[in-house]
Amino acid sequence: MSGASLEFDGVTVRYGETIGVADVDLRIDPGAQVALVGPSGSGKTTLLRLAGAIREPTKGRVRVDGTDLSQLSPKELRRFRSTVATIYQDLRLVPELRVYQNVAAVRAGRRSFLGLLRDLFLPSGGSVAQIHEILESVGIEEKLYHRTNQLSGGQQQRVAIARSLYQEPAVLLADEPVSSVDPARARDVVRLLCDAAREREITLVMSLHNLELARDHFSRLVGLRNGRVMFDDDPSNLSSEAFTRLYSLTEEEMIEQGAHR
Amino acid sequence: MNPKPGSAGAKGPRGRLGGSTRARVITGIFAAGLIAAVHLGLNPITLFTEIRSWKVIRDFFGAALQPTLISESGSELFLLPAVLEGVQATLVFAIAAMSLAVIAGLILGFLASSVWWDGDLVGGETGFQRALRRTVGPSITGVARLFIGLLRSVHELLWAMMLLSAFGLSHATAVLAIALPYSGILAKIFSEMIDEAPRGAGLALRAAGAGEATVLAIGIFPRALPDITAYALYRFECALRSAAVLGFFGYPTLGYFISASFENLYYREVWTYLYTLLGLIIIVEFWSVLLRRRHDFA
Amino acid sequence: MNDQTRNTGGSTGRNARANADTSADTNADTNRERNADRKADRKADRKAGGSADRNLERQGERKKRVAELRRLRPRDWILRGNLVLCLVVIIWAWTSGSFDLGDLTTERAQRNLDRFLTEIRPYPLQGVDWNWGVYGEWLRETLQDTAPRALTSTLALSVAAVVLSGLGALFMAPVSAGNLARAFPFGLPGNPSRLARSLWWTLRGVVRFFAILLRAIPEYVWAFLLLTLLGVGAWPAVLALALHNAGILGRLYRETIENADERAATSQAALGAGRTQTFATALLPQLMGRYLLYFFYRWETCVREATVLGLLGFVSLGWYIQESRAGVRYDEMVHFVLLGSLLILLGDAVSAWLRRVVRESK
Ligand SMILES: Nc1ncnc2c1ncn2[C@@H]1O[C@H](COP(=O)(O)OP(=O)(O)OP(=O)(O)O)[C@@H](O)[C@H]1O
Ligand SMILES: [Mg+2]
Repeated sequence: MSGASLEFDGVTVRYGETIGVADVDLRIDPGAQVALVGPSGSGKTTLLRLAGAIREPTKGRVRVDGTDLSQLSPKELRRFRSTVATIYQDLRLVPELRVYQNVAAVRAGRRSFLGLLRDLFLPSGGSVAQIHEILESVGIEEKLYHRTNQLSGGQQQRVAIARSLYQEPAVLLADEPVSSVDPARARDVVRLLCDAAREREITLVMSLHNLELARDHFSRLVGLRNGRVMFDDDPSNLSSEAFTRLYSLTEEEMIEQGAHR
Repeated sequence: MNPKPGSAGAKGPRGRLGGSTRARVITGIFAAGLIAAVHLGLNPITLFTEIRSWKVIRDFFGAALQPTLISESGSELFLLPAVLEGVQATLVFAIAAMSLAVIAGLILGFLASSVWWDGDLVGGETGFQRALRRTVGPSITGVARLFIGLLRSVHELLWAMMLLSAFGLSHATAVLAIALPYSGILAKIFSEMIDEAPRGAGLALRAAGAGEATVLAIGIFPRALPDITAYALYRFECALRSAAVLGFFGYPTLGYFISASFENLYYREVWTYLYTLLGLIIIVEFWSVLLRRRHDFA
Repeated sequence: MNDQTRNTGGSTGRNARANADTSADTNADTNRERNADRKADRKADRKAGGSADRNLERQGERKKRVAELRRLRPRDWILRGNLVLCLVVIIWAWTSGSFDLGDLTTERAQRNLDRFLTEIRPYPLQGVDWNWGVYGEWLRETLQDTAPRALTSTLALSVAAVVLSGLGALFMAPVSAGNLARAFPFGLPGNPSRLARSLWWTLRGVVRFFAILLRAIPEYVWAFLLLTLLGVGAWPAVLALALHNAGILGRLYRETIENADERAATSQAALGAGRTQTFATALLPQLMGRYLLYFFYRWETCVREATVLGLLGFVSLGWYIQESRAGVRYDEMVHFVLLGSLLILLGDAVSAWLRRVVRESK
């Protein structure tokens, strides 16, 4: 099993006047694990949305396994998206459905509409067993048949992780997956994600606000600021100064921000 | 239903300003009420002086405590068959009409919502598709809303009158008379519920490659379904009342029996029918509470 | 775990490019691919997994597990029961023979419909080409005198009624709320006598029963009864609307009291404030916004109902509709109905605006 490579080639995204990311060049090897760090508004989410083909770049190319995403037809795009799993900060589950239904629904990209309805409401024993196993690997297998809104926040987070694994993606994107979890759980979740991705050789890109977690679990950190890549290195090579610079506000910036308002 | 925590205690400068707005609204309500009363000549004194016969009133409300199952016509007729006939017709008309109205309401409500063309929920991968959606979508929604407005702004009794004039007397007109305005009422609220449902899950499914049907049916619809169910059940209660009232137009529902007994001055029979209607309403309400509790429909 | 990854692992193995490049029909294609994958997997399994025995054993285990999971699957009997009940009841309604939609398509009905459709055309324009000038003239003649009177009286009816019902509900709600209408409200310590407790219990029950009775009887039925009991004039219509809506608002208001944040009330009560005082000073300010929202919602329905009460003889829109129907002037009738629908839509818009004002004044 193998992950996919990601390539950003001079990528710029503009939201009207605002810059999302500017001129980003980045290459991520298949199966690699990368953490995105940077202050609020630095473009982490934008980068992840580009990788998931949810947004098109204003300029530049995004390639996944060498395929230029802008060349894909709508149908191909759908297929591509089904190979990219995303974990959101706000989880984005359907609380009214049961846990196994939430997990099963993520294969929508590979199922016909009716096939998916069958998976959800008349599931085969095999698929339920598979979901059960995945839930086991994130430690909440006893919640298989519970209604999702009866789970605690942390348990729901694990459902979201299980869901992304059940998708069997080539790339796993996680946008601040732990910002609403307590510190101890946060470490658990990050470790769980990293291990699961490594075991399955999935390419993992995670944006994190917690620098300590990023340094401890990732061998490659990409620092973003104002949409630009400030550093891209192993954390052991990065001085604490580099991080301070990443998060500080310069005078120019303050003026610039003031002017934008 | 619970008030948001803090909303009560938060009294900044805006809070005080809000208070005065509210005070003005309340004053306005009373002023409007007073003007309306004067316009209609509502004099609290004439309410009592103009009553023709206190005896009738005493008789009528006295009968509230002694509903009867034996006909008051003196022929020793058992009333139960009439009650059952009225109940059956009321139920049949309300249920048939609601089954039509819920289906029509869902379709119209979906068309009148913006989920199927607005924002990032549905595709539009090419610029052309997007442009097509952004022009065709709002116009279809606009037409649907206009249609909904027309349906619901005509009262079911007026629909009944027009349908009677158009088709002549048949029981099918009663079903349609309820179904038409209720489709509009349901569609309006359904479309609001669909539009207000959180879209995160739908967006997530789309990001995982799901097609439009899946995004809407699995990602959005379940989020609106509890509200939709609760509202449909409430409207069923209203449909029962509407069906009962249609009896005044000659359909064999409870209203027919109420008016017949009342005109014969059989007040105890009237109360039997009124309590029967009350029983129906209580059963429906009990049912909907049960369902809501059971499924966290709140 | 391994089982699972191996079984379906193939589909992940397909990289993005392969996925993206395939443009043939999705389903058949993935199925074929998946089958191929599975075969390859099994081969790999055999090579790596050692003896066939162990494989069989594992498969047996898996089967057991699948059966177990299947057994555990929740069967929501209440939900299913309700769905079946709904279905049965709907089928019963359509097959009970009480009505027949086919009646609308019989020849007689069609002839009737044709006649109706010609007669709703304004009288001067029947049988001649459409002419906006003539239509405008006819419209002015028909509506000039009647419309203003019909609209104002309908509006006045709805406003007077909803104000009355709001006041009524304001008195009914506190004495029927479970947390307020009791011997010692807000969980304050105290040792109420059995008599006090049962008196409050009775009061609550009686008021609630009245509320539901008022609510269960439709406005139109109230109006019909009161018309005979009270005599002509506006009072029966106003009271009919007010009674029914007081029942509805009474329930809604009661529920907001029961769901209210009780901290303020508890502290007030602890300071020795009486029941009425606590309600007025601690609860009412907190609940007023919601009360107003419900109030305006009910006003919308009051406008709607006020138009039809005229059918019973009050001089609201319904009266003119009834008159023109009795005179078989369907052109007039339809125009009055449209006028009413305009009034209702206008009322909705005003109510929506007022509700926004109230909501934003939080
Ligand atoms: N949909 C949008 N419309 C307009 N501007 C946007 C949009 N999304 C992002 N932006 C802008 O693009 C810039 C980058 O945003 P992005 O969400 O990628 O930042 P981020 O690094 O994820 O921030 P955070 O850590 O707060 O989530 C910000 O200035 C933001 O205001
Ligand atoms: Mg972000």
